[in-house]
Amino acid sequence: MAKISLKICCGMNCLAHGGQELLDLVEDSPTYTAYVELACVECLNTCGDRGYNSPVVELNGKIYSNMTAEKLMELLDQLIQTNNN
Amino acid sequence: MPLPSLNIFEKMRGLYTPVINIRRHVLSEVGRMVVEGRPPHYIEEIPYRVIPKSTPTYRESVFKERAIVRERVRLAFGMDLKEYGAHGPIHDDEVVECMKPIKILKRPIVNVIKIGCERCPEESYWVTNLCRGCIAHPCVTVCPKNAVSIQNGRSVINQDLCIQCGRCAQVCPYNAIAFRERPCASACGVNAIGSDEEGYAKINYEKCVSCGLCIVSCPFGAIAEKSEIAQIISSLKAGKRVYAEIAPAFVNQFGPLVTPPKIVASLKKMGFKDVVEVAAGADRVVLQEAHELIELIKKRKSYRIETSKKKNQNLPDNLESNLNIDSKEVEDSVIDSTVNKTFVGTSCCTSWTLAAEKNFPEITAANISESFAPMVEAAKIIKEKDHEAVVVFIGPCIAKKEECFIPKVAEVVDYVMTFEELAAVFQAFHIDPTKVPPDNDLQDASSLGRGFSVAGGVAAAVIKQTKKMLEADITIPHVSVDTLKECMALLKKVKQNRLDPAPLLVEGMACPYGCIGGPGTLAPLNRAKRAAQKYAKEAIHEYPSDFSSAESDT
Ligand code: SF4
Ligand code: SF4
Repeated sequence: MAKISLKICCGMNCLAHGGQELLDLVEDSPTYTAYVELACVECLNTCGDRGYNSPVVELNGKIYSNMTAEKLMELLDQLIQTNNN
Repeated sequence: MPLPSLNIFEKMRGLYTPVINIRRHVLSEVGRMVVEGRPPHYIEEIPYRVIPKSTPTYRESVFKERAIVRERVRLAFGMDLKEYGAHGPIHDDEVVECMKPIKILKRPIVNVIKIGCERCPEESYWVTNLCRGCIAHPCVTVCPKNAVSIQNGRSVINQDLCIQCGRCAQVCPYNAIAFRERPCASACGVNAIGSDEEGYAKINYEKCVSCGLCIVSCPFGAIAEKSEIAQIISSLKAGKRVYAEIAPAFVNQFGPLVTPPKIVASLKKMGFKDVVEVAAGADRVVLQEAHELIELIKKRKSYRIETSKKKNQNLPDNLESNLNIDSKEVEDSVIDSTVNKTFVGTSCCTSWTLAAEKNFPEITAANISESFAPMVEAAKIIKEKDHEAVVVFIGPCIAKKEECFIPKVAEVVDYVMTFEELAAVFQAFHIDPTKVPPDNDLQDASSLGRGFSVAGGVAAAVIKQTKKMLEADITIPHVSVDTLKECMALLKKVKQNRLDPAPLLVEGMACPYGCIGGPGTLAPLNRAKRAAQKYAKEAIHEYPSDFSSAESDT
């Protein structure tokens, strides 16, 4: 089974607006680390000039902006469930 | 099984909350305004950029949300707060003043934004909905003041009688009685936060030591500190010879991709002439404190040997002769105040030294090390090389802004900015450190100096250095504590001589886990700690004294 690919933007805007906390969320959870291929990447250039779309993540090739821990968990849980079925 | 409860500092740690979100957007907007050289009235636009929606997100109305942001903007520019209730447009002149490359910061650094404060009740015990009005009602029985009674089938606490002993909460079979804390006050280790007549949080500045921990603990974001980013950016833009000194806690603050050489490169790209590690100053502090410690040990030699014998330790034969080493340096650094010295108190944490002086003047005056904080020592290194240097301290610390009001410190350190503020300045300059080609690695400091950022690191460094200088493996009784509450409790014990063995070295840190837990940090604690320890190991020299010997070798 292919792992879920999750790229978290670690550019300055995203980092200042919660990117690092998202990294922690996935890294510190054994459930997620088992299913997710986590990468910390350079600026994805989608946060907007002023960073109001930060933080940005790329999940299985799709870009999501204004990511929060709650939203990310929901998305990951959904993907893990469909993968398991 | 319930999880163990967390203390106030651990509760919101590592979470990116909307409070932080607003704070950071305000900082980066203010930074941008200065970088882009906008006209003064642009300041009125910032609240609308930060709170763009017409429906409220956080509070009862957008007007209130924007009014609070407006106060934050004032503070971010370094201005004073407006009195609550007073009519206060921001005058253009005021803004122009703030955008000049001149220091304007005034006390107080830490401010309660009154309109943002939700007047949380002061600490008290409350009966929650879990109360079942049970027949046994042990809460009533155990209360020593008869403050608890059963009314309408539920337990009620008479707050006028309650002395907050907590017995009722302890015995309730349903855990129905809760201790209600006021986050800002629980975070304050020196009890500086009370209430005004209307119930708003009010800081008693006689007691406050500007540690900044109430700022990060208030869940409503009602406390904020003044910032100097506007003046720092102006200095950079004016082409002044600005130098950065960066505190050892900086590693990994800007994410795993941003290595120290990249931070150096980004700072230089922004206009900083050069970057120096504050840990180089820490090295000087280690040496000075080690000298002071040796002086103290010499004086208490007989005591030391006695206590060690009691513990059956094998003392090295050469100890006596080593203790009598008559190096000139030692003599030079010995200060008269050693007369009453009973221990060496570390000097690097401003809040700790301030709190110690304010609360235990009788024991601290003679005992806190004469050395200046690493920030000052590192700034001296810069000023020795370039007299016109404008020195900006970059660290996790808010109290350093307070320290700069001390005249001797003000001579060498011009501005202070936190890592959080630096991130906003990077954003304002459109610099992304991940994409900047790395500069040279920093190698200004030893492992021990770099270890200052984690609680316990200072004492460990001083002891290692002392042992090396004495060439003897002796036990030196010492204690290290973090958080001001613990620090104050410790000083009380020291004062009453309740510690056995009496410590010769006392390290105090105001922030939980040391500087890496400071209020101006960006990185989650566990990450910061791992990175800081790794970084310390990467120093070429282990001991501060290695530098001088390396120099004399060449
Ligand atoms: S925690 Fe915040 S909102 Fe509550 S009293 Fe303190 S400053 Fe006010
Ligand atoms: S001492 Fe620290 S926690 Fe207490 S009021 Fe001052 S800044 Fe806030």
